[in-house]
Amino acid sequence: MRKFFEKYQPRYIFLGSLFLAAAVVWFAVFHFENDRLVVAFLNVGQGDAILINTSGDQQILIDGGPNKQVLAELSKVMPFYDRSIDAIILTHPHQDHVGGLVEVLKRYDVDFVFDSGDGASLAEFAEFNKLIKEKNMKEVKVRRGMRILLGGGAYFDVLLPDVFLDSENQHQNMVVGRLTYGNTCFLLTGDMEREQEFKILNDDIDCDVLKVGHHGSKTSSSESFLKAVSPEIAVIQVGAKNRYGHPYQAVLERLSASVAQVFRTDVSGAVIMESDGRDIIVK
Amino acid sequence: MRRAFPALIIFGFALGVFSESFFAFGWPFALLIIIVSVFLYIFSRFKEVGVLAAISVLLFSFGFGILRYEIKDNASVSSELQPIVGQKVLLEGFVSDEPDERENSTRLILKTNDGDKILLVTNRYPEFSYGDILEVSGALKEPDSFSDFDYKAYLAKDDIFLEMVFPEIEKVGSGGGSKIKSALLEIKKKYLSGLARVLPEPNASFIGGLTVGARKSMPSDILENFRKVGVIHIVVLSGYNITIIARAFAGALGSFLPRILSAFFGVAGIILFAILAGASATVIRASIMAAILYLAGSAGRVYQAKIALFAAGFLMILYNPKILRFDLGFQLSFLAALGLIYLSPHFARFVKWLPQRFKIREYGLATLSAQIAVLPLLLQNTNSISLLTLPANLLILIFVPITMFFGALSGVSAWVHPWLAVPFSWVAYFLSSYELMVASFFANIPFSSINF
Repeated sequence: MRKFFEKYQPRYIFLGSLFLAAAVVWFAVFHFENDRLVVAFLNVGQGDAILINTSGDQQILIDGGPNKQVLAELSKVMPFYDRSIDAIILTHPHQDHVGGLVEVLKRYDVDFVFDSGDGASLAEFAEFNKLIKEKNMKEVKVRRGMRILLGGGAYFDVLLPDVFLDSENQHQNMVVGRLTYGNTCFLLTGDMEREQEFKILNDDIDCDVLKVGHHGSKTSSSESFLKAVSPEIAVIQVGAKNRYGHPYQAVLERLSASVAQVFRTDVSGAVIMESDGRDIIVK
Repeated sequence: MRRAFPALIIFGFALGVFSESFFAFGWPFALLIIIVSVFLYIFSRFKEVGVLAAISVLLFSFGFGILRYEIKDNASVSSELQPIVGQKVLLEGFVSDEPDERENSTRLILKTNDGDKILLVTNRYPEFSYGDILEVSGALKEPDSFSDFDYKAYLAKDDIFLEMVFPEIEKVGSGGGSKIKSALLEIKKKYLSGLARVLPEPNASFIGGLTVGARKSMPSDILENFRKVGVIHIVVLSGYNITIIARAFAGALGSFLPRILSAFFGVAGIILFAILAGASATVIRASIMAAILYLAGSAGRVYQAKIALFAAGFLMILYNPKILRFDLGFQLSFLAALGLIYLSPHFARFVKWLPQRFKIREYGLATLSAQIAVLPLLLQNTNSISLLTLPANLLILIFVPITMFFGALSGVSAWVHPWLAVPFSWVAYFLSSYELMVASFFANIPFSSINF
């Protein structure tokens, strides 16, 4: 019996592997096909990274956190065999937003990169730009008024930047946008500061979900802005015990006074939401 | 009595090195001992007293151990750099080792034109590779030691006495260092980036660690899990992995080459692989043993294994005596090998209840004897014991060889084209996910490890 097994072992391993592969394909087909939009606020420590998975099965990654921690987080919300991300949106070239994108560009097939065209002397950003050129990705500079169709009926409206400012402060040219799917809406703010908040106060920014600006820093989330957005759910992407003291206590108090549910990635890890076009569920 | 001489020489030498690392007797004392031992030996020849001869051999090698350590310990900063330590300086040199990439920084070893090695702590990007010629400017200083870890001595064992923290770096050329090493590291880089293209994280890093010892990119929480349940040895490329690779290599060559040729290529292959894997003390110890066992043509026989282990240990301490006290990796791997050879025959009766199928009993016995042998050292260094090492190792080790096989195939085939790697990478993905899951399952059981 043992001899029999030893003799035919390689054949069994091979057949077993084939069977496993077939099972996975069918599992994947049934499991991942849906008509929902998934927005995952990933837990990348002190930094931002948001993966949008549309019902048309397109993946859009907004920012990539400070380092390659984003890779392990992506694996948790993407099927393992999917080695492509359709588009990347970079809100601004700071370390805690662009750092992890370098490894993402190296490992995934990426078609489009959207950013404001702001430059920075950061080494991570130089590497990021180098990879965009090397791999022939399409780079699009976004401005207020543009609408990016994400597939499956979801779209991203660019609210900022409206004009490009030649400034040392990269927060001035922040890409800010509204993600809409059916009747549900997410306001994605990057590190937007009070000054930019005032610029879009009169827009249609009344949204169900607010990504709280600048990791909950005191330079963002003014009273009038929160009132204009009036979200049901707010998410703060922030690292535990970060050296900036984010999120700011007064911001937390302001949020808890006006928002039903506040999530923090440093407390509850990645925050994953699903929208069917009418309601949003937090998983 | 004379048959014990090789053992006495190795033991005396190691003892000499070890004592000198603590007491610093100095070379005059070593010379005195050597001279005394020579007289003692001559005397023993006249009187024909065997015990005296043995003692003289022991003393003689003890003296040489002291002397060897003394020579190594006297190495220090070159006279060119000595006067500018503590100042802001501009230096040129080449990257003399594989860059050590951490989460938010990279460590480079810069070898200057005067032969000094300087540790550079720098940003993750831009990336540099082995052999790059750099111009760096920054404050040159001696490394600080942490409260519980003698960092300075740890670096000094590799002749690194100075460091520069976040200097300005400009790449002015490439092609420094050894051409062979540079080519091997380039292959490794291609292999790892192939893995990264076809596998998600942390699976890609895990398989990189399993097959070529690339630990650098494993997420820290996963490494912590591995440490907690006592399976960390498989991702830092232990003797176990090297033996699997050497055997696979030898098997493949042996099937179509004549014996002598295959032996030659087999040993050459092991040496090249050791360089590719980073040539840490653990890797070298395992590689020397694997090569000796391979040449002896009798892997698994206890007597040859003993000779191989002591020869490997002796050669390594002779080359760098400081690893005996300052390289935890070497100490752990040597002790684990000692355990496998000397303890496992005695523990065989404790694992009789394990089934023999899939080598479960063999792995159980190996885990038990290696873990018990390293226990004292592990306790002293980490202050914790894992209680679930045995089941965790069993559940993981049975699948390691096949994971390595499919992992290596995916990395190599992805190099040609990512699609070619699909069948292999899927199998590798499931196997590695299973192993990661076992590790995190056991690490999350309350009281899976006890801290002191």
